[in-house]
Amino acid sequence: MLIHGQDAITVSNAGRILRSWETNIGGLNWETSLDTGSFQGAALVGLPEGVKYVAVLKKTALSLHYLSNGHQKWVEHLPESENTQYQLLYSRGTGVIHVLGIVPQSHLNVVTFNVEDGEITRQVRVAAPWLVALQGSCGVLGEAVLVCVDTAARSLHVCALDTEQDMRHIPLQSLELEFADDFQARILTTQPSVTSASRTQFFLQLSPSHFSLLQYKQGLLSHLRDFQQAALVSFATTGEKTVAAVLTCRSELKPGSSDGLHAGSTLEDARRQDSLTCSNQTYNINLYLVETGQRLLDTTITFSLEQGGAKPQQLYIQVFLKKDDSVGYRALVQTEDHMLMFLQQPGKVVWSREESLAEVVSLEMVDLPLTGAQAELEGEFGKKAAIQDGLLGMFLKRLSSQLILLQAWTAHLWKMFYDARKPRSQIKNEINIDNLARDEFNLQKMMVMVTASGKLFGIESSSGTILWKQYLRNVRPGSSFKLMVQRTTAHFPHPPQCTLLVKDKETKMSFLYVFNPIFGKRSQVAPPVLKRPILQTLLLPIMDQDYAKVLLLIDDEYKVTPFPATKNVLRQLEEIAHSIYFYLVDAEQGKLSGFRLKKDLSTEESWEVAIPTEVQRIVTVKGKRSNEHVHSQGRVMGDRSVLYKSLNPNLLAVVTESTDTHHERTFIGIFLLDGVTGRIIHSSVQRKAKGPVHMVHSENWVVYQYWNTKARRNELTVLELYEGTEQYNATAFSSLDRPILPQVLQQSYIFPSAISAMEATITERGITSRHLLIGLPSGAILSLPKALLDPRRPEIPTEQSREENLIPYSPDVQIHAERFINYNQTISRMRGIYTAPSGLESTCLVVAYGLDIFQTRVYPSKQFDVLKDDYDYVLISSVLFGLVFATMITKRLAQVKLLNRAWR
Amino acid sequence: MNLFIMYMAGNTISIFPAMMVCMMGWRPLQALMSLSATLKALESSSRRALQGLVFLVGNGLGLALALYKCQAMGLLPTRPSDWLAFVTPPQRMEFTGGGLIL
Repeated sequence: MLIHGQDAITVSNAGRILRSWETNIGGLNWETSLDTGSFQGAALVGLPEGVKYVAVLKKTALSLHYLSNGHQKWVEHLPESENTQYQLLYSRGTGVIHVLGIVPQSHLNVVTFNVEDGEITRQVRVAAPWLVALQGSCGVLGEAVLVCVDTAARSLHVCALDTEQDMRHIPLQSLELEFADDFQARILTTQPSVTSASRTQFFLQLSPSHFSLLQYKQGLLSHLRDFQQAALVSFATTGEKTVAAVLTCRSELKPGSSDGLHAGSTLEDARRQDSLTCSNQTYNINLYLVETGQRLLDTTITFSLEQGGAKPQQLYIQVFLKKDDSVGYRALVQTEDHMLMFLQQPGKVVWSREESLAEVVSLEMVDLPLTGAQAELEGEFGKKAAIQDGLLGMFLKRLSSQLILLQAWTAHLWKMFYDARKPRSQIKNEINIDNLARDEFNLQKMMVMVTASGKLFGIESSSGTILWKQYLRNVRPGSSFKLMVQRTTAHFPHPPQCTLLVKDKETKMSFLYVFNPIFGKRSQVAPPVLKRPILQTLLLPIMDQDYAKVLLLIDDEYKVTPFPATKNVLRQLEEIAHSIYFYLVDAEQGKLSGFRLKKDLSTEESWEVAIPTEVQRIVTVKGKRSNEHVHSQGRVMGDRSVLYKSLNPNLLAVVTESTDTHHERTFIGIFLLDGVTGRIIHSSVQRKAKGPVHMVHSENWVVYQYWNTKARRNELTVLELYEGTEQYNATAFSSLDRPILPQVLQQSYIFPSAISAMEATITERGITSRHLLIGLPSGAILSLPKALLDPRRPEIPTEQSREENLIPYSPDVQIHAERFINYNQTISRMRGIYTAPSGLESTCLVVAYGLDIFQTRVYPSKQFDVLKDDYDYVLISSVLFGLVFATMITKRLAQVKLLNRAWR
Repeated sequence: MNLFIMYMAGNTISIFPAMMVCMMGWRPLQALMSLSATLKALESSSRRALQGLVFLVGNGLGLALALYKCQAMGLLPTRPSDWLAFVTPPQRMEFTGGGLIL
């Protein structure tokens, strides 16, 4: 992106489109498409009177466009572009553009173009056998002078682009500059304006923490200043002054990571040379005048980052001239965990943004902890209490817990009374991590988010405040994450526990990070050290003595590691090992395999399904959610018989897409497999259909969406599985004992829009009707009742279907704006939707994440278990009491009357 | 006459037929409960055993008619869909887990 005044120029779509934007309002000024070719760079080009053009450098050609409307002025072919990599563009308002290309280890090509007509005015070949790449090692100074650093020879090479043909060699030993081993030296230059020359001062980075400010003027190299302990540098210009900002660490920079969170030793060693950390994470930014290297007084910004957090990665400076002609500035610091901080003199943080929340990978909602009083109550009714205390003990406990409750209630009343007397603005309803407690209906939860940069967040769901953050070092981009909740807050006094498995993509090594999701701190429990790459995990419902669910990790030698690995757990595992099965899907080889666990915690392969990759590739595999509860085992028919659902908890839905993407021959395949036996329960192929396929697999149905290439529309298909009018085995479900295949009913509908994400609502008992939450690319989330996607919907309604309340079939699914759950708040680039049950049966909590994060409550069957807001307590209670009194009075009167009559 | 009322009441469940059926069911039950009082009133007659029996049978028939009406309305839990709410989910014998290789 290039910025000139009010306009910003961008090149997007891999170098195919050039656009100009208005930076004030974000409007598009003009847009033009460029010729094909791999994009290398772009630069603004100006004449002495102003900046008029923008030059775009591609692999084989250079084109010049007008800045005002984007029309192409000329396009020229670059000479020798097959073996030369053209990488650098330079112009300084003299009417020519210099283009530098490099043939690695051989020479540089300098081609000079005339701005007016694109004619090549000069073309030289400069020998440079030591040069490998232009980026970072070279820069253009002053009046078109190219300076490059040769790390191996510890010297600089200088060449004037306008006049000379050879590089002049300047050894650096005379300046007493020490190069660091194993570090590629870098050069940073600055050009304040495209219409004038660059500065003659430049930075030479000799080691990760050593920068040197040098000047090359009129053929002479001089050393201006040395900066040790500097982490980052940046140039900025205002008016006539150019300054350099240097970020230094307050204490000594040491190699190696400090005592923060880091992976096992193998990952650490690889990064040791690059990781220079500041031990107390306090930094200083100072400004230096580049002409002289002098430090400007009163320009220090001091700030500190979290201990054990990320270090700064980029520095940007905004300078301005103050009234007394001194330089003032503000700094934008970007840290490794994608956090942006804007700092003002003398160290105040104006704002900070957590940009890693735009890349949320995994999300879990965890209940908040119980308060002391609630926990007491829970403890009172536990099994252990009954055994230990006996009758009298329990009675006394009951009295004490009632006293505590009474105390809490009076404190609450007092607080309410006290708050009512203060004006509303002063009452702060802050939520902070110390007073977190579960609310009445468990509607507020803690959202634990794992982002792609390796940062974990704990966000409270009712207000969206970030309560804790944790940065995991040594997480490289592209790692895969899996987050599991091992223990919830329901087992006081054991703390809740979450486990995160991080697997590096290149080295394939994984590590486990176990933490408390409420406070974000690392847990006391030590996870097992993983020596081999882990393929998948399985969370079992069996628990350890401290109520932590057992996590099984299967590695690439097909051996299983349990966590926690206590004796109790191992004994329990031995008992149930014969009924634990793993399924592993290798999408590259097109293989699904099932493994059975043996008593000694190794596995043996029990089934394999091969889906050849020449024809189709596996895209998604989905099982059912483990906490899903199905309320009714069948559907009631019109004649009052029951059609039993086929609820196979081991069923997997596999979606494949064809490798041939031609619109006549493309297809998608759906396979329903049993995870224990590998039996294919149902398979179907949808011809002339294309992905991306979004799928929801729940209860006894599968809903998937695809693009129909023949009819050119998006379609939804629903598959439902039924056992029939009789249940095969009503007491236990075993995949090994299912001789009859279920019936599959299927129906398709037309969906008027594309889909970004799809998920079904979930509640604790499954009584509420299910709605499908469909995220649309327009940013809205549509809540579609599952009853609309019912394969039993009849084309011709009969008496029976009317009895069952089946909506007659119509192929269109309409998007009604009233069904949007997010009103007018749009969520850009939605990537996923997460649903969680709450304490109320009617309410489901929904979190949609993508570029934005959105949280809300959904009531698929309206709020049937909550009294309405306008419930008239006063009227009803007064009528009730009135009638009771009236009854009592009337009874008395009637007695009196009867007595009088008897005495007559 | 009761038969005629039942025929007119129809098979839907609404307030009027429900009231009719309830009344028709309750009257025989009440009469059966006051069996001893009726038998005492019959002491004077000669064929009191037979008359008592006829009383029983008549009331029983009335009750049976009410039950048949209930069945026609669909109120009696005779069909499998009426017991669907009590069907417990089958216990899971095997556990599976895994997915796409991480």
